[in-house]
Amino acid sequence: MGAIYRREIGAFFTSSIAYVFLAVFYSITGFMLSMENLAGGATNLMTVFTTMFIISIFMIPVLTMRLFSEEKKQRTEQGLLTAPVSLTGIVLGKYFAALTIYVIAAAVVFFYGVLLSLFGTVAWMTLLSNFIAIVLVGAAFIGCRRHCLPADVPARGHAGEPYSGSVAPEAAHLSELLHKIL
Amino acid sequence: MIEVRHLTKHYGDKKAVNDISFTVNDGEILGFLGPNGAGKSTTMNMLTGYISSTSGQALINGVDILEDPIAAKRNIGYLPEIPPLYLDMTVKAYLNFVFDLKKCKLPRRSHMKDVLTLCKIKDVEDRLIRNLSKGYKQRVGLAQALIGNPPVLILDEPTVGLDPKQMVEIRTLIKRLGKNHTVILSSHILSEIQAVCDRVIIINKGVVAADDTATNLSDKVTTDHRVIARIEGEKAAILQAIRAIPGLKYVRADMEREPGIWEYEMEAQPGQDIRREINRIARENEWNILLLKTMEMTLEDIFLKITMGEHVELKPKGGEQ
Repeated sequence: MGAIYRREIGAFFTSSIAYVFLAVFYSITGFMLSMENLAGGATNLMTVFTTMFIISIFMIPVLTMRLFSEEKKQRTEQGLLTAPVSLTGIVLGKYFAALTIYVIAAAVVFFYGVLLSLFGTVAWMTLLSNFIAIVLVGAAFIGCRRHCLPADVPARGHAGEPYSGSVAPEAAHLSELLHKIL
Repeated sequence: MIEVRHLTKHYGDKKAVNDISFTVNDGEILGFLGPNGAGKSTTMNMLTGYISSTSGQALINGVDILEDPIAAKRNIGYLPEIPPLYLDMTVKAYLNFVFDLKKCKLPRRSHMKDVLTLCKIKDVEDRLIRNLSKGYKQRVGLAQALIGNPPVLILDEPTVGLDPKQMVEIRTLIKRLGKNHTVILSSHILSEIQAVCDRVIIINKGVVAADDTATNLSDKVTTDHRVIARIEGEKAAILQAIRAIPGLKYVRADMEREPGIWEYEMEAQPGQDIRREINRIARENEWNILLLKTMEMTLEDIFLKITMGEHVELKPKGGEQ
């Protein structure tokens, strides 16, 4: 799993998907920040987080769509599935790679916090809990995209059910909860 | 050691692989021969755990690939038909990735160096795989199969796309590896199979059509009852005289090889050597024999005959038909 994780992170940056993702994230949330907080003079980052939530819906597929389609396209899935690594290991490696990029994007929120603290007081705990919430939302979304595995799972008895992320329901539930609190 | 027992793969109604059984012993190089669509790649994919079988067993060094896939796969180095290369990585980065993926316990630097040198890709180790020629890509594919020094090597058309010199190099390499690995090699190039492999399995339409050593296969089918003769004389008269030989199955004038001289292909009953009869006929009619030889079947002939559904008479020497 570790090998796959490291490779995918590298691949995200070589293929510039990571840069695109981060650029979109940073620019849109930065814009929101400057409109709402810097111009409006509020330290409530609610708009930023809401924006992040909405961006995620559209941008997460950008991260995840190439995770498996590349494998299929380049026929490298055969290499992965004939290696002594479990299917779980493969999926988790890719999952955490996508999640890492997402967390790097979401972590800009701390930078915004620091920026705003120059002008007023920032409720750091709220910031933190919002950050965790948005990360969980991202985790859920990434998990939901995990449905493009090869059809024939090599184990007797499996008739080729598409894999669905079991992390997704839990994370989605948790993030809903947190969001309501905030 | 690889054991395959009654391996079957159905795709709906279609039987891609139908009850295949064979064994490959340690240190043996087995050649898989068969037309496209015969089930070679399907069998190899089942052996390596890429696809599941419908029924039957595949044991790699005693481990069932479906019962304990991780343990079985640890023993296998697989080069699929299309090498699973990540085009966006350099050769060295890719092979390091494979090293980690296979959880290899060997000393990284020296093992990497060995594999790179063995496959002659040391000079392109820092190039992106995307920028390599087909021959180099193929060799990187072979290198990834060799990482970890697995006891079992399964190579699906390893020399495809290579130039003749590279083909010879890879063949020599495989022969050398065969000394302390168990190798299954599939190919369309019959001379390659003949040169490299100890044993040959011919697969046709999902079943094993022949399973024996290359020489044995040729031996079994080489017959002295099939003769080719180039006789100088009047064609109709020659044909008539030959047809008079008792026990003759057929004779036909094949081609006009030299001006006025035809080549005749004839077949008698199995075990009947008619060369002396031909000599006698020629002497009686004062014809000159310019060529007389028994028709040997090369592996290619056997392959073509078997896969075209013709009945190939194999002498029952304890082998399979």
